[in-house]
Formats: sequence, structure tokens, C-alpha cells
Amino acid sequence: MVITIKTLLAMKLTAVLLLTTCLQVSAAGNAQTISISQRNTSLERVFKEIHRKTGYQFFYQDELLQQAKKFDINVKDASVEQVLEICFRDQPLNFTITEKTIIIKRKEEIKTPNAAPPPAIIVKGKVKDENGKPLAGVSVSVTGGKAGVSTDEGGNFSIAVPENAELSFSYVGYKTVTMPVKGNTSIDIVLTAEVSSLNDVVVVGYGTQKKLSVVGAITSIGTAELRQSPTTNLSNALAGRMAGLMVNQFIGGEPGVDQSEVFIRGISTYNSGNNAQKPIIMVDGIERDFQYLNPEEVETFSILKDASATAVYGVRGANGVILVTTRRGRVMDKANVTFKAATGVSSAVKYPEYLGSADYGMLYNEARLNDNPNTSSALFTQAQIENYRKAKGDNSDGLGYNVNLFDYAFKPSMQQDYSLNIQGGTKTVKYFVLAGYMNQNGNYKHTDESANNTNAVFKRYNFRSNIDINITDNFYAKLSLGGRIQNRIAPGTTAARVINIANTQPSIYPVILENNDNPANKAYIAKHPEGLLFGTQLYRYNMLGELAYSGFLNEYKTFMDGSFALGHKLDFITKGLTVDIQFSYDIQAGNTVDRTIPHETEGYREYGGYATFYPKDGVDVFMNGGHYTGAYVSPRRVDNNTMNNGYNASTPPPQRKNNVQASLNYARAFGRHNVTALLLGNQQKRTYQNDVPFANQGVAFRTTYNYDERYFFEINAAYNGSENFAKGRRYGLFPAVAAGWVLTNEAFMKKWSFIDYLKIRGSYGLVGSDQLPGLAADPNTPNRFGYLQFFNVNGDTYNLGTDLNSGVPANVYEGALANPLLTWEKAKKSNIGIELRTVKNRLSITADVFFEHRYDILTQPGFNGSRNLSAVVGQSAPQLNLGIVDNKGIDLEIGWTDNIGKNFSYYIRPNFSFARNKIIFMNEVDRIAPDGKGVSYAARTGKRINEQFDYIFDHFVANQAEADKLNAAVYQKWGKVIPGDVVYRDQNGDGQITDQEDRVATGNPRNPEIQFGIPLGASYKGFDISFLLQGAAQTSIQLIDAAAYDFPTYGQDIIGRVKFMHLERWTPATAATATYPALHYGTYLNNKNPNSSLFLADASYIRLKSVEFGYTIPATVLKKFGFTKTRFYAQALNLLTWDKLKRFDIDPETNTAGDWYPIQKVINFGVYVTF
Amino acid sequence: MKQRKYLFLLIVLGFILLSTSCKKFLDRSPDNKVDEATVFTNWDKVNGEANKLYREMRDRDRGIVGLQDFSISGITDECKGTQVEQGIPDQFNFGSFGPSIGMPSKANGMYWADFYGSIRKANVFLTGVEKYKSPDNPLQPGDLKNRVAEAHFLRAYFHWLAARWYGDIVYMDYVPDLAANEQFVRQPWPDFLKKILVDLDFAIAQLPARHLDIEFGRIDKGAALALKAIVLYMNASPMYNGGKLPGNDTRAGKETYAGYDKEKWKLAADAAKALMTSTNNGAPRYSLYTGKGSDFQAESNDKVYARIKQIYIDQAAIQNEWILIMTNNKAESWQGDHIPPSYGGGSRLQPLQEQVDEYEFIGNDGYGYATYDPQATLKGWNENQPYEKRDPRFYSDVMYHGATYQAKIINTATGADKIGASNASSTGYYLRKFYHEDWKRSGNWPLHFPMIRLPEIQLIYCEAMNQYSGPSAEIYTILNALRARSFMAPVPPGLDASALHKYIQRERRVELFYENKRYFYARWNLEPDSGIELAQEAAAKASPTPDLVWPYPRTQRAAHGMRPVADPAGTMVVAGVNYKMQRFKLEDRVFTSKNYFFPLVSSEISNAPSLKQSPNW
Repeated sequence: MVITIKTLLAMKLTAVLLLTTCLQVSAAGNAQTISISQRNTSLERVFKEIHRKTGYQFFYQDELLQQAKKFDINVKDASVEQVLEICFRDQPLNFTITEKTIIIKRKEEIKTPNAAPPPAIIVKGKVKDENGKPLAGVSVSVTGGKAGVSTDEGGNFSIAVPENAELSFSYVGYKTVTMPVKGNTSIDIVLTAEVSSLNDVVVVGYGTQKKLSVVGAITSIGTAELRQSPTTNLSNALAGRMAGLMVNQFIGGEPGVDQSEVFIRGISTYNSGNNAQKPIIMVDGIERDFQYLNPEEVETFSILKDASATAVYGVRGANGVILVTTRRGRVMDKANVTFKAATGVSSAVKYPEYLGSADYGMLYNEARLNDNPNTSSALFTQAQIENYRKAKGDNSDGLGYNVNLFDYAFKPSMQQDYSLNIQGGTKTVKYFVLAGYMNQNGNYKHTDESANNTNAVFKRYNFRSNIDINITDNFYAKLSLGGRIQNRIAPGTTAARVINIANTQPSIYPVILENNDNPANKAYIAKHPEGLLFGTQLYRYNMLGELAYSGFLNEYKTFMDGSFALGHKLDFITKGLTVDIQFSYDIQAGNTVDRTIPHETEGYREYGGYATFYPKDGVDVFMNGGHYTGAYVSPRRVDNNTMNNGYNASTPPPQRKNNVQASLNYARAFGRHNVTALLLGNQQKRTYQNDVPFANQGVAFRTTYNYDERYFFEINAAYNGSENFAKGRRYGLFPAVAAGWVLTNEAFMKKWSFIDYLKIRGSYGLVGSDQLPGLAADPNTPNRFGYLQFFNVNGDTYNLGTDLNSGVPANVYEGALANPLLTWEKAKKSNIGIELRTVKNRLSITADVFFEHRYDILTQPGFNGSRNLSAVVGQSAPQLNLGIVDNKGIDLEIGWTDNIGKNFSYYIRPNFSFARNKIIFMNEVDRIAPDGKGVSYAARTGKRINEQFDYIFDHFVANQAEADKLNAAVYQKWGKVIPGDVVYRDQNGDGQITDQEDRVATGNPRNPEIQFGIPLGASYKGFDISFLLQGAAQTSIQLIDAAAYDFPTYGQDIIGRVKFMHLERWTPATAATATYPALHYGTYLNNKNPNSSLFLADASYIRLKSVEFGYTIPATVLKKFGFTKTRFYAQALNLLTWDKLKRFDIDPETNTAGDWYPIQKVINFGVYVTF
Repeated sequence: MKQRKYLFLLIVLGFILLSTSCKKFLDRSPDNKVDEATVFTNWDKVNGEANKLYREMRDRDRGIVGLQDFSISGITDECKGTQVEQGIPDQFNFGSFGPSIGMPSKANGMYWADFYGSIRKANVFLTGVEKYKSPDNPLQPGDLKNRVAEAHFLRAYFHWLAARWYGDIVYMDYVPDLAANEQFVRQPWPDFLKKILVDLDFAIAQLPARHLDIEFGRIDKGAALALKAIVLYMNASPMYNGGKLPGNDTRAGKETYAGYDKEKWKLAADAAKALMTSTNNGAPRYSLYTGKGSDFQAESNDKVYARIKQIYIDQAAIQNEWILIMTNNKAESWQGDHIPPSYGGGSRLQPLQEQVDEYEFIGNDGYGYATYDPQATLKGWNENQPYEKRDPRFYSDVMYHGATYQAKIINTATGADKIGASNASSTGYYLRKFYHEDWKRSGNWPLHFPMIRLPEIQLIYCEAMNQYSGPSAEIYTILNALRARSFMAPVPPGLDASALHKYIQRERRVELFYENKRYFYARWNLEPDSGIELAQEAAAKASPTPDLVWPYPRTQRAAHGMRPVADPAGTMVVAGVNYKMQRFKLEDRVFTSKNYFFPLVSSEISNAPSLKQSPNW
């Protein structure tokens, strides 16, 4: 270390000078006083002044004073020491006075207890790993001392230490090694990797613990895993990563609204409130959203699964807790600067494929004739169907249109991701700062065809500054600021609508009408040089119109999360006690510039903001091919609408949140007894829009004890309250106990030395959930005040007066019935876990078995079959605490890590989660068939939550005779059946298909019971590769509408298209092999039933969720460019999927109706540079 | 020790942050809601609560948009609905509903629970006003008394609406105590009829004949008188007066009205008469609208009388002929949903041939005759010119092949309005009633709906008197005046009671077409199971060409249309092409003994096992 040597030289020089000055000025007394008045002065000037007035000598290195700050001074008759106290108050420096000599030093140096340093030597050496690879960044320090250095890129270090010192070498992921110096000036060290470093700290509720001492069920991952998925939403990087975490992206892949749904250990309550089944999410100890954090700023992502881990969250902990911590500074000798740049292409995993015009025409005719053999509807001619087979598709050949709107509208889009972070610190100040920029371009075509480019762009800017300051040895401050700006430019259309048009509009219709020279059209053509967009009263939206002529929105969302904490050690009260106070204030604000073009509405019919046209002779002219020569008309009342010039400062709605936490921490060892304790109080207030603030507060408590790191005991508890309940029912005590036994730390285990580590742990406790049932439209304002009886007052009026147009208030009425006895849901949770490592630490297994008993479930009577008051009362029964659900399952994680030879290492770490719930009680209505007999199989009680109840497909109506028989008996209630229609099984044998009584539980609920992930990877020299296979099983999807039906009905009156599966329909000729019933045009509940087992599909799947291939350039090559590490990588997300939905041609992660936006496949390339 | 100053700082800071009261921290309460005492001790709130019942009135019988955006006309032999919005009318017509299937979900507002929700609001209001001795309007004393009376009417009205759909009901004139765990029982018709009449009589006694101009549109005495006449008509109709409800009649106390009691007709007639003769400031309160002279509507080829259109638009008609008014039932977009596709519409409800046949033919002797009456042929009826010389209300209510609308000719044979084209009619007819003829898809207007109009009560009077004492000059006078108002020829003289009865029934179908009456009058008269209709149905079935046999039976089991067939021999000429008109059967519908009443959904029976299911479900 070059710098160290310089310092030593300087110190020697100091000693010489000191000696001389002593001799010179020893005569001067100590009691001299001086007066100084200077503004914005420097130390140097003050020193000169003091020297001039008193003759004191100053010794310092010039570079030290360069760090000093300017200051003001104004003193009268002060001693030199007093003057210097003032000068040095805010300086990173300190001084000592010996006689008339003043020595200036760095502050830390002065803290060394003895003024005279012991004889020092310089120790040099190299740190390598087991494979002989040099390790960079290993922290090398004197045991018990403060000074430290880290190794350079070659693993080399150089440190000046007392010759009797002991050096300590520590590096994350490796066992810490200590080595006495004993006068050696050269020490080489090999660090061995710690397979699961037990000294690692694990984030727990309101704190951290050593991994060894954790007795609750907690799983964590870090930045490295999150980085592997190039997704803009972090929730999409979680699937398959952690045992016990169920992650499903059912919402689809539309940029900006593609978040996954996350559950811990499945679903344990049928309570349907907005957040009633979801875990709470804490970022740096405060309830915050994590989805749009930059992966680079995340340190750990942990899930707390059992009662022991979540009890400190008390009334809110029942569904588990997700903890995210952001990165903070570390003591390093120089700042670590990392730059990341990545760019990629994203496109849909798959678009559904529909039949072209020829098959559409053929099946259309068939469906119409099935509906009515004497149909008055126009049909396609056989010749035209043949023409469609030959047609190019754009009608340039006059053979008719055959338009694929997915091709027309979509293209792959580009995304970019850049971030720069700086991490570093000294003993006094540690910092992590980050700036990130992410840009995702839209994947629409044609958006540049209007005056304003309307393509969707999503930009995200992340900022973070986490600073830790040790003001004194005992007093510290932390300032954490996280900021985010999300800027979305979006066309005036919605992704759902674009997808919907592509899914539904028959291919026989054009996007732009052909111009013809019919004089009636002249004015239109002149006015619309962009072309006459096709649109009718049914097909009201035009694809091009939506993409190019719908205007645009420019939406900004700003988020600022800040926390400030102060802490103080209270060793003077008792050793190991610390107090910490944290205040945080989070705000979000929005503003949106609205340049959309307003829609035209007429009754339920809504048109886009652009003019559309269709042939005056009716759209049926397109069924005939050829070139239309007649007039065009518009279904709309007006021509193009004018663009909005709107501005909305409350989109998204503003929110602010303040949170105050104060805690006392205690940690101390008494011989082999280790004790910790935590007492924490917190208060949170969230103000959203104009709502009455949402509040909660409470106290959390934890104490842990272990004896000799063999026996571990822990008690966690919270006493906290929720504003959702009446006084006296608001606060509850939620305790949990846990114990663990590390067998491998026992003497008797020595003979079982092949077991490297074995811990058994168990926990039992009570946690709660205060979320009220009922879905609020805005999840930010869940239902509340269920205990208060109110009268609603709104702005409704009723028109009276002789002209019937003067409104009188009609706006007061009794609100929903209240239940003042309402209180929280309770969950008793038990968990038994085992952690094992063997085969020389290469194999690790963590297994947990859990059982949860949820009771007093907050129930909305009348919902989902729970018993209600008679409707005659005129109001629904108030919410009640009554239900019981049990949930049990297994979390399993197995890891294998090994090397082959020196350069090749690999790992595989499969994880597996299984959770099954059962409704034990929900005060269900009687399930009685119309014939008066009970049908117990129709009951929801005893089944799983969200169990799918379906009519079971039996067979297709074989012939007219059977159809007549069924119709005469009114066997099915959806109108008359024809041959080829579906016949369902009569479950209760009453000769009729009724609703509840003939639907039985079948398949699996939508949320999978089993989820698993198989991360695996390998590295060879500078190359590394990793995969994540992820999957789900025991899940079913009930498909409806465009996902399954022939000619489905949409948007109230639009009739959709047909898929390849519909070619397998029943016809008299294909009766034996048909897999799909006879076709019908539009709504036909008998066949196209939302509860038909024909459309209940197994949604199990395995995905190649992510693949990453990287290459790290050897440090030696980079050295001359000043870089320490450079890694190039290529990634892919959702590259391959294996599922059982081929026939339906949809992705297993999708919603069930017609407007799904496929999840995205991303190919991404990037580089990390550290310097 | 000098470092303690930081600790001191920390403690001070801690105190500041935690100084918000912990005890009250969770006491949050919504500030946009108020409690019971506040509501009932403040006139504005009391008034707001009373007025809320009017919005409930609009939601419980949604007038022209009873089934989402369809009228309940689509579940009668008046009209056929399209497939839009899950084809709600078809779900009723094809019987796709039941206790366990549930009721068509989009047609809410007219189901069991909805009615009791409104009834509770009326009871909460009435109970609260009494309990808190609520203050009257300080600026206009007497308002409180009126609101209380209006609430009595509306409570009766909501019960009556429920009884129309469900038959036996529970009459709730109190707010039930939840702790009492009351066992509700559907009461016999005579029992709750009495209670309805108590509430109506209270309203009749308390309410003014006409509210002040600024309050016009509120329930006044006439509304209560009219509802009383209708309720007593129900009481006298076969359903509650000696008729046999088919299937297993499980109605409570049905034996008490199993026998025929002629006096019930007298009660109905008297009630109707009370309305017809009611006065305001010495002048008759209600009269038929006779504005606009004999002008024709512009652009209608002089077929549509402006007056017939204005009955539903002109404030003079609303103030003098309408009795129970629903304001702002719907906006002009309703018309956009219904006009033919060539006008940019969706032809949502299309009149059936069954309805068209009810518009009489004006014979060459100057009297009206049913088209299916053998008399009509004698008086010049030509089946090949079916749209000639019909009741003027036909041209005003229905668009047909060759009709002129906004100066253009409707063509159901070719082009965008052709039968079967996308969005076009499936019956050969388009609706025209309630349209603002001059509305060309721009401009706004509110659609007010007449829940009860004077002619309904006049027809009740005529029918009741005809049943009670046979034909009379008074009946002729009333009927012919009603017809003459719409430029319709009079009823031929000298009819016997049975023939006159048919004229009265037909008059009701024509005058009250599309006013939500047909569904109920057909049931009260047990028409679908009357001997005549069943015989008619059997005759058609026996015929080799059943689809062409008409008049169609009124059994609600089929729907028919009429299509033009180009034929040089045809005598109907539209756009230069000769057509023959051809009847066709559109569809079969389901009507069985259960279809007289809605069922209770099975969860309701499970929640309250003391409630019995409706008959035959």
C-alpha cells in the first residue's frame, strides 16, 4: 500500500521536527490567551495567526488540510486549546498539543489508545481461493483493530500492522481466516468457500440474525438471482426462485401492468378483500412496493413463512411477509463503481392463431345453419370460400380479404437498461448510490402514421442514496433515499382493446377500405387522405385507428421514499443495548398529460376517436369478394373527434405515508449464553387521495437465547392494532415460540462427521389478518369501517318540476349494516424444519412442513355460498368472523454444488413448494336440489378455496331423435339442443341439468398447489452459464370466450372468430371423432358455457424461465484499462414452455377471457463494468 | 460524557415523533358519512332520504330499459330482442333461469332482494322520522307530511312490483330487528292486498291532487288512486278471482279466492272511476292529450300523426295524461340502439307479427276490425296489402317494409336493413314508438317514461264495468274517445259483452304497447292457459303448415315475423320491386306453468327456510 508508506515517512519527519521545536520554544508558558475573528477562514490562516500571536508550532501534512472545511471564528481571550476546539469542530481532523507543538492528524488516528504507536511492519501477501484463483476485494484487517485494506484484482494486499498483531481475512461467501503475524512480512492465504455461510446474516422482521441462529422459516435470495431475469417488474423475476413462494403472472404481459401475483405458501383464507390473501411487503422495514426497484439496488429478498418469523407483524402477518432490503455502503479502501448496460428485444411468448377467411366462411355457414336451417342470414358461397383459399389477403386480387391483425399490429420491441452504482465507505461514512435508467419501447406497428408518434414507451429512472454515518463510536445516523420516476407514453388505446380487436375481428374485413370513384365517397376520400378506416356499428374499433389515430397519454409517476434513522449505543446502562429511532416519509405523485382523442359513445356503443366507414349496402358485401363500387357510410354520428388537451395531476393518485419506529435492541453474550432482545414500537399513517388516512400502530417484541450455539429458543410477539375494528377489539397480542437444535455442534455428532451440518427447528404461534372482505375498485382503498353504522350521502338527484329537469337531492340512505363485534382473522401456524449439509458440504437440504389453521375468517355473508339473512330484511348481513380454513404443505430446497477439476464448478438447487387448503367451515347455504334432496357434493365446505365447479361433459347429442327426447324433457335449460350439442352429466339423477346441483368440483383451482424451480448453472474459467426451469402443477384454467369458444360474443354484441380447435367440431360425418361440439354463432350457453368441463384445461407447465450466459474478462487483461472486472452476458426470459394447452393455443399464464396480453419473451445482452 | 448530548438529541427527537396520541391514533372515521341521529334531525337530510326513494322507484321498474337496455317488451309477444348483452330476453324466453341457475344477471333491479332493499329504505325513513320527530321544511311547511305520504305510496308500490313478478310476498311495514331472527312467511294475496290498500289510502288522504309546479313529478293523490285501481283490477282478474292457476298451485290461502266474486269488478271500477273523476281546483285533474291537431309528423309520408308521437314527449301530455311519471328513464342513445342499421342503429327490439296483428283494420264502414276478424275481410281487408288502412297508432309504433322514416323508405328485403343482415331486424319490423322522429343521432334529450297513463285506468274501468254489468254507452264513449284521440275509427256498435271484452283487450295492447303492461296483463288474465288460446295452439299444430296458421295463440310459446318475397305477382311495391308478404315462425319460446311467477333463488330459501318456493318451481 503506497499511501501507508508515505504516511509512515511523514510520521518520522514529524518526530524529528517535534524534537527541534520543543527545544526552540520550551520557554513559553501555557496560559497564553488570544482573540481571533475571521470569517470563512481556513485552518491554515488560523494556524498562522496563532503561530504569530503565541509562537505555537503546527505539524501536519499538506494533504490533510486540503480535506478541511472553511469556517467562521470569533473568540475573545480564549486559550489556544479552546480556539482549536472551535476550529476542529466540524473537521475530519483532530489535534494534540504537546508543550507548544500542535500535531494535526486524521480523526481516526487519534483514537488509537496510545499516543506512541507500537513498532509497525508492513505485511504483504496474496489471497487465493481453493482453486488458486486470486480473490479481489477480500477485506484484510487487524483483529480487534479498525484499520483495514482490501486485496486488489490480483489478490494482493499490503498492510502496516504492529508486529505482534493478528490479521483477519474475510470475504463474503468464504470462511473468515485469522493469522498471527509473528513478525512475518509476507503472508499468503487460501480462503475456503463457505457452502452456506452460517455467519451470513439473514434479514428477519425488524432486524437481522446470524443464519445459524434462525429458527423461523425464512428463505432469501440476493441481487445475483434477481439480475438473471431481464424483466422490468421485479415480481416477474421471482417465480421458481424460492421454496414457499407461489408466483403467477396471470395478469398477462402488457408493459407496465404485468406484475405477478405473489403468495406465500398458497392461499389460507377465502376472505376476498383486496389484500386479504396477500403477504405484506416491506422494503427496508417500511411497507412499500418493490416491483419497480432496480434489481441492482436490491440486497436481499426474503420471505417470512411461519408464525415465528411473522409474529412481530401481528395483526397483519397471517399471510406471510416479504422483506426487501436495499444495498448499503461497505467499508472499502476505494469506491466500487459498477456500470451496467443492457439491451434486448421483447416479443410475445405466443399470439393465438385463428383460422383464415376460407375456414371462417366454411364454419360460419355451418354455425348459421345449425342455429336455424332456414336461416335468413347471408351465407358464404362455396366459390368464395375457394377464392379465399387462393386469395393474397389484401383483396388486391379481388378474391377477398384475409387479414391477420396480430401481424398487422405487433412487432418485437427494444428495451434498454443502464445503471451506475457506487458502493464504498470508511469507518465513519458508508454509502451506496445508484442511478438507473430503463427504457422499454412499445411493440405496436403503424404508430408513426399520424402527426404524433403514439407508440408506447415505458421509461423508468431509479435513484438511490443510502448513507450510514457513525458520528461517534456510539452514535450513528442513516439516511436512505430511494426515488423513482416512471414515465409512460401510451397511445390513446389500451392494450386490452388492441388485443381484443385482433382476437375478435373476422379476417374477411379490411383495415382500410378500398377507395372507389363512386361520387358519394369523394368528400370522404378528400377529407381522409390516410384512408377510409373500416368500422361498423358492431366492429366499432379499427386496428389502424387505435394504433395511429387515438392520440396519446404522457404519464409521469414520481415516487420518493425517504427514511432517516438515528441510533445510540446504551452501553452505560447495560452493555449491548442500543436505541434506534427511524422516521420515514414516502410520497408518490402523478401527473398526466392527456392528448387522447375522445371516443364517441351512443348508448352502450363506443367508437374510437377517428372516423370509420363501411359499405352502405351492408358489411355483407365483404362476404362476396370483388371490389365494392358503391357508397360508404359512417356508423358514427360525427367525423374525427378533436384531440384532448387535458392534464391530470392526480393520475396516479397522490399518496403520502409516514412511519415512525423506535426500537431498543439488546445483544450480549455471557460465556456460552447468547441473548438478544428487541422491543419496537411503530406507527404508520397513509394518506391516499382524499380518503381518511389509513392508520396502524403497535409494539413488537423478540427475544432469543442460545446456549453454546447448540440450543436455540426464540419468542416473537406483537401487540398491535388495526383501525378496522371497534375500540376494545382493535388490539391483539400475537405470540409465537420457536426452538432449534444444531446437532452438529454437539460432541456426540463428531463420529457422524460425514454430516457437516444438521439443524432441527420448530415453531408455533398466532398471527392475524385485519383485511375486510369485499373487493374495492381501487386496491389502495380496501374496504374499512365495517364496525361503524352510517348513512351514505352522495350527490344523486332526481328531476322534478313542470319541465322535469330541476334536480332535487336524492342522496341519503342507510349504509351497509355494521358489526361492532368485528375483529381480526387468526391463524395458528406450526412449522417443523430441518437443515442438513453433507457430502463435504456439497449437498444441502432444507425441508419444512407446515400446518396453518385459519379461523374467525372475516366473511361477507352471501358471498360464495355463505349463508346470509333473508333478502326480506332488505340488507345483507354485516361482515362476520366465522370461517375456518386449514392449509398445509411442504417447502423443500435441495442444493448440490461441486467442482470438477480446478476450473469447472457447477450447481443445481431445485426448490419445491406444495400447499393445499381446505375450507372447514364457512356457514354455507344448504345444497338442496329442486327435488328436495341434498347434494353434498355441491358444497364448497370441505373443498379447496376457489375450487372449480363444472358441468361434466358427457357426450354430444348423437342424432335428431336424441335431441327431440332431450328437448321434450327440457333436460338442459339453455334452449333447444341439436345433434352435436353438448350433453352434460345429470349428477343428481333428477332428469335435468340444474345449476349448483349438477356442477361438481373438478380439476384444480386456478392457483397452482405445486410450484417448483430448478436453478442450475456452471462456470468454467471466465465463462458462466445458468438456467432456471420453473413450473407449476395441480392447476386448472377454465377457459371462456376467445380462448375456447367458436364465434364468441364480445363487448355486448361483437361476434368473434374461430380457432384451429374448432375444425374438430361435430358434424354428422365426424360424429365419431369430434372433440368440439356443433358450431353456433354467438352466445350459445348450452355448448359455450363458462362452467363446462370441456373448457377446463390442465394448466400445468414447465418453462425455461431464464437462461444466462456470461463471460468475465480476466483481470490481467483489464488492468491497463483501469477496470477491475468486466462481464459480458446474454440472457433470455421465458424462452421455452412445455404445457398441455396446445389445443387451446394459449399460454398457461393468462387470464381466461378474450383480452389477454401474452407474457413477454425477452432476449437481452449486457455488460457489467466495475472500476 | 460529552457524547451524551447526542443521546439527549435522540430522546428529544423521539418524543417529538411519538407525540401523536397513541390512544386516538386508530380512531378514524369517514367524514363523508353521517349517523342516524344526524340524518333524522336535519330537514335537508330527511328530504334527501325521502327523495332517494324516487331513485329506488326508477331502479325497481326500469321503464324502457327493464332488462339492462332492453324493455321487458322483449319477453312478451310484443317484441323480439337481439343477442346483444348476452341476449337477456332470450334467457327469459328460453327459460334459462331458475332457483339454482339463478336469474339473468344483467337484468337486475327487478328481483326479490332488490324490492326488499327499497322497501327497507322506505321503512327506515318512516321509522326514523317518527323516532326522531324530524323537523319539517322551515321554508315550506307541510313538506314533511307530503314526504311521509309519498313514502307510504312507494312502500305499497314496491310491494306491488314484487307481487307482480313473484305472486305471494311478505309485506314489510317495519324495519326488522336482526336479533329477533324472524321467520318470514309469504302471505296470502288478500292479506297483503289489504296492507297495500292501507298504505295507498293513507297516501290518498294525505297527498294533494297536484303538487306545486316546482314539485311536479312527485307522487300525488292521483298516482295512489291509479295504483289502487290497478291493484283492485289484479284482485278481480282470473288470477285472483276464480281462475285456475295451472300446475300445482301452492299459493298461500288460495282457497280464499278460488271462487269467482263479481263484486271484485265493482271495486276495481269504483277505484278507476275515482281517478277518472278526480279534480284539481274544481277542474278534472286528468285528461287525454289532444295537442297538435291532425298534423302529420314531418318526413313520415303523412302516415304518422304528430299527436300520437307527442303523447310521450309534450309536457302538456305529461302533466295531464301521465299519472305516475319516471323522469330521466334514459337518454337519447336509447333511440340509437333501436333504429334500423341503415340509420346507424342496432334494432335492439323488433316488434313481432303477434303485436302487428293487434292493430285493427279500418273497415270501409268506418269502424275498426281486428285483421283476423272475419268481419275485416268483409269490410275490405286485403291480406296482400297488410299495411294499408291500419290503426294510426300502427304507423306511429312500428316500422315495416315500405314505411317512411325520416323521408327514407324502410326496405327489409335488401340492403343494410334486410331481415337477417348484421344488426338488422329478424322479424321484418323495427320499433318506432317513443322515438323522437326528428332526432338524427345528434342532440340530447331525456326520455321520461309513463309508468301509469290515464288510458290504462280508463281501460280498467271499461273492462270492469263490462264484466260487472255488460256493455254500456259509457264504455263506448270512453273507448271511442280514446281511439278518436289517436284518429282511430270507433268500435262497431252493438257488441255483446264477450266481443266488447276483446275490443278492450286489443285496445290495451295497442294503446299501451311497449309500456311494460303486456307481460302482466297476460298473466293476470291467465291467457297462456285459457281454453281459447290452447285450442288455437292445438289447431295450428294440427295444420300441415303450422307456421302460417293465424291469429297466433296468445300462449307466449312462439314468435312470428313477416318477410317480403320478391314476386312479380305481389301487390306490395317497395322501391320499384313487387313483393308478396310471407308470414314465418321466428322461434319457439318456453312458457310453462312456472312462468307465471319468478322463482326465489335457492340461496334465499336456504337462508330463510320459512319462505316457500313460488308455484311450480
